[in-house]
Amino acid sequence: MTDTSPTLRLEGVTRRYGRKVVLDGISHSFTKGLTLLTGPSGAGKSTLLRLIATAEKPTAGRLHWNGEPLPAARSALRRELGYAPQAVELPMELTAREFGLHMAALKGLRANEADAQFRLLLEGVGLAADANGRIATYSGGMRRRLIFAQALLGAPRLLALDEPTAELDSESRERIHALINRAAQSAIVIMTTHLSDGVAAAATAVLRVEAGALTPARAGLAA
Amino acid sequence: MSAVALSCARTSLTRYGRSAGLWILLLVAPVAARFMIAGRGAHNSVISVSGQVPWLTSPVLGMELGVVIATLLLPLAFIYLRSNITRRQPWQVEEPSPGSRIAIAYGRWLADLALLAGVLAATTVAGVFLAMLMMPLREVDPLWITLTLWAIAAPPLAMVASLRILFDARRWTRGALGEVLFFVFWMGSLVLVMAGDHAQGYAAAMADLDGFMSPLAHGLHGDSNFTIGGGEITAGAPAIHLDVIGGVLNDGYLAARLTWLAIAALVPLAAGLVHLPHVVGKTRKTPGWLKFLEPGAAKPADPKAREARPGALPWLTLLACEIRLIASGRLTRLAMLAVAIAGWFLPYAKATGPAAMLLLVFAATAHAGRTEQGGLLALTRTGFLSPWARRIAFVAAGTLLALAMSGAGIGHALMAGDTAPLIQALAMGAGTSLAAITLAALTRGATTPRLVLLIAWYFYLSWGGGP
Repeated sequence: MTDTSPTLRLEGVTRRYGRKVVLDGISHSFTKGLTLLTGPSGAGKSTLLRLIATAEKPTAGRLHWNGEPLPAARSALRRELGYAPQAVELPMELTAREFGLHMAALKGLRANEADAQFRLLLEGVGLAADANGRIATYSGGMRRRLIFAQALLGAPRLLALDEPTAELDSESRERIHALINRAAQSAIVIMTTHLSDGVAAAATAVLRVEAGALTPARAGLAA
Repeated sequence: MSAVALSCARTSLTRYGRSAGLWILLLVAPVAARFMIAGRGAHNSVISVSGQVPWLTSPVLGMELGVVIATLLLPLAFIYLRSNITRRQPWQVEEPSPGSRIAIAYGRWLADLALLAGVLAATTVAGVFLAMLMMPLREVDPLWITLTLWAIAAPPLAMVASLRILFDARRWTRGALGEVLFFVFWMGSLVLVMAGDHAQGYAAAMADLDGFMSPLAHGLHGDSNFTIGGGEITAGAPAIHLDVIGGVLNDGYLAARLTWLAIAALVPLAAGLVHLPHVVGKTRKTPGWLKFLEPGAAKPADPKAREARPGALPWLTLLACEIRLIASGRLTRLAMLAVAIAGWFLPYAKATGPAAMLLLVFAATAHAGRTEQGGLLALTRTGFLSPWARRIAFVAAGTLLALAMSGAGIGHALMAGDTAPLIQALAMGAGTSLAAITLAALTRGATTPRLVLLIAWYFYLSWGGGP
């Protein structure tokens, strides 16, 4: 029987900004389940997520998606990616539903199925009642939940989530944690967080990003 | 690919449709046309030939409307597309998506094209209405108004939409360089056509992107004594008959207009192919010989530092702060110093005055664009000095910087009893700063003030201190 679990491998990945080395030769294999990235602010957690989400290219080293190296496998990775960065320049004049349908089109999803799935996702993050409200009228927390919801469109097998629960109230955090835990049953979920509650117990790995290195923050985890 | 392009076009059009700016843009061309088309007894006209106004026919009216759009309205259209809401795209999630960059570029281009076609349609309707007011009804021919107007104005408008997509594809042209390049493109297209030999045929029509010279030259029969834009009309001079239809149907003209449309349609393909993703941090190393332009290392914090107390002269502190922020960066300060020193050797009106204004345009619009962002404004409203105080300080700081850069030129002139450079520097500094902060406050960015002031700078440069 063939193992169809997704795999993501980083091989000597380095990222520099000018002279500043943010990530220095990181190697790690991610498999199905939830991986938390922790570490101090500015340590490179978001940079690592952007590299994984192919929003940036590494200065050196490479990524492998399901055994295939990038950039050859970039399109394949992007087809199975859900990405929720910390901040997005949201199109304020659109409604949440219109934005979701636009993101679904970019992901190549069927419009009617995407519409039905996005309604469910909005319900999951507690935005169903505001689905037809313009994003401009949303609070900061509602926008963050919308960014998270669009990442789950199309059942991605790789989810890169940059502090998806920051600034959220406890009820919203629980809703999002439930969705993350469900997604982690079939996908690689990599999430940056400063918080240790909620999802930490369900995490299969906790990694610390600091001084350009990636190290296990919980005993028994292989880097 | 088509689903991605359609989604981008649909969302962009939805966003345009929900912004008040769209309706203003749709009104600009018809309103401008109303004031620029000369009726009988007019003292000036969009086009005048040897002091004579063209006899108003439907094709002439269409051509005059086309001239208004292809000259004056191109920068406005670019500013609108460039600084409009749809420029702010969710690139953070779009760029890592599997959606094709070419499809995204075409989707956005189609939306921009539809918007500009709306401007042309509104101008066409206004043109027919104007014709009914200014001409005998039996002579009004909507078909010829439409054909001449669209043949002239559609290709340059399509190129504007294409350039905005192309400039958004590359990191450097997403900023100030994009506005400079558009300004060069716009001025270049006008200069090229005005300086040409007004020949006929496909090649000549291809050199005429703005599209009005070929039909105009056909009707002039070699008379090159014509004026575009506000030409004086000699009192009592008879109207001149222009054969615009002959010019439009002339050999190669329509083929050249279609070729320009085809070129414009290919630009989004190039934009998609050369697209570079946005970057969050600085990725390039500064070459060693330019290291001196980099900000130096921060001073270490003093553990004995006292808590900051309110200044005795908050207005003066604000003014000093604005001067420092406008003239931020070592490169800007070095360039300003170079202009100030050059004032000892070079004429003020033709050299250092325009150089000082150009520097001030870039420095002032960059700072104004940064400080008029919504989030920062909300924060500064809670401060001791209101955003209005800062805006006044900004204008004062810009004026002082203009005076500082012009000091040598002013000194030279004053010693010779000439106060003109002093007045020019004051007017240039205050005018530039005031326009920069006003336009930045209205548009919440640096794009509009920069492009408008670049056009103003060109006129200042051409004026060269007057007669």
